[in-house]
Amino acid sequence: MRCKKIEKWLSDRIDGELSKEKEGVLEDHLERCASCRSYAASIEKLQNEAVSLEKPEVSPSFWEGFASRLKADLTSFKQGKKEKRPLPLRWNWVWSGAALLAVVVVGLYLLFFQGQMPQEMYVFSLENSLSRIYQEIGDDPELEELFNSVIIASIGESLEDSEWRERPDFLENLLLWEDLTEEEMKFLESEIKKDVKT
Amino acid sequence: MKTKSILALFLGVVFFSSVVFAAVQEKNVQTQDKARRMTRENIITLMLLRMTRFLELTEEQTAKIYPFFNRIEKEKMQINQQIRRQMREIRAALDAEDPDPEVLKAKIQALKELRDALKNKDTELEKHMEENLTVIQQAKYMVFMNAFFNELRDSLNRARILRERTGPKKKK
Amino acid sequence: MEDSSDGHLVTKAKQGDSEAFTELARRCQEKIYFTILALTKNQQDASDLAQETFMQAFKSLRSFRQRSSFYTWIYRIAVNMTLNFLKRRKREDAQEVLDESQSSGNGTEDSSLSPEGRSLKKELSEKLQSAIDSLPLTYRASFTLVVFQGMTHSQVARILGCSENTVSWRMHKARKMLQARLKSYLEGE
Repeated sequence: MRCKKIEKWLSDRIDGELSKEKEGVLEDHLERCASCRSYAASIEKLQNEAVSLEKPEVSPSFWEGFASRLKADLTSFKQGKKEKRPLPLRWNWVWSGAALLAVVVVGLYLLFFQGQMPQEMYVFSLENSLSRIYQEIGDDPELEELFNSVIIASIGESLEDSEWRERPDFLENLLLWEDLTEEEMKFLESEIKKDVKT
Repeated sequence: MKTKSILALFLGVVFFSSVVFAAVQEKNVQTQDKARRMTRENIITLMLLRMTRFLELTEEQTAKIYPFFNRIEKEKMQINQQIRRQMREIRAALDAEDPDPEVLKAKIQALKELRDALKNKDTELEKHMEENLTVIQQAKYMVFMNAFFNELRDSLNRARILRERTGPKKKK
Repeated sequence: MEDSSDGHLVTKAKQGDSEAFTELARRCQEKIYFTILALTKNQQDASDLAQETFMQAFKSLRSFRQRSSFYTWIYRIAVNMTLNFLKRRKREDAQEVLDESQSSGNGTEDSSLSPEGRSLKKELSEKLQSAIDSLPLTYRASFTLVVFQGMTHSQVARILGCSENTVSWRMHKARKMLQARLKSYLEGE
């Protein structure tokens, strides 16, 4: 039994999610593996510490205020008034700024481009997206390099997610496909279609 | 005689420099092309990862969509390379002292055909998606493409901020 | 667990009874607030988002089909709203994205106590809080709901709109990250 799998089972056990069958296998492994025993002790300690972390103090008056605020909002909503609660200052500033900017942009656009509607106000095609991005990057290799590294970091974050770990074949294929020739890809496509039909 | 040799030397230097310059430019262009190709590939990878989750694609759907997407992408990359080449040739033709209108006309036509070919690839891709997605997924796809574009712009802004924080690179 | 009185309140609230809804909110406001606070690390934001959550829930009650419990449903609204808020704020302030070690604790007092006042245990608690705060958002959401709110993987999966297996993996990854970060403290005793 591989220790990587055991480590995950140890996590499930802490959450009460490990089946009885796996529990038996786990115990057998722990008897033989010092490293996993040490890991088990570490994460159990982590769990104990985490659940005993102090919650921040919240006074009873906070909850009273919370409840009355909600009550007031519900009453206003029911009366059909859209009484907006004051948002945090930063949100107010941002939204006001955004609204003003939108008005200015639309105004300028109507002024200078009367009769000429843009082909699209939103971007739906990948090529349009890419060409706009590249337009902004222009001839700036340093910026392009940094942009590329941000994209790679985003890919890394996505791949970290367990969903992709659950589909290792698929993941390997994703990277493999880029190196395949046309004929190989067409063959693969037809083979996959056959598989899917059966 | 002396004037002639100086002139010959001067012309030789100019010619040699321009050859070297063109070679360096070509190398820069190839490096830039390669960098752009890598960026594009990474964007596509990210897009596929995001799209799969956003559209909640099943394994069957991913098996049908991914190979097709990759094939279309390779074809579009080749078209884009040709477009870049055409653009460089047009610029070079315009830089000439006396640009030949017929040459320019041919290049413009070639560029238009390439642009249309690119659009057709997008249409082909959309058609394939429609055949393999439910109506709800198709609607999600439209929303997704726009959201993904915004994510790319955000990433570009982050890159700009990163550059501001780290300072300009020293030029080699 | 949703008992019959909760169910009765939900039925009344769906008919527009705001008193019934207020009572439902009162029963879960603490859990919702602390869940949001664990993600935002800012009391003001948490308070505002909790209010927004309940308002959104009240407005959307008609679409609540009671296939899951009311609390699962409202948790879902709370977590999604918070994650969207944090993603928006991430776009506005790239520094938070770039600086993974940034942590403001729970938005309460400064955690830099004098050395004399510190015990090893207290130090571990502080480091642990900081480490939890710097977990990637999706891991932090799962960890908060499972460890701090005592939910099962199945409940968390329904709230986050993912599979149980995904929650299980996120918990495992979160623990691995925390263990790696706090190794020296955990091996201390």
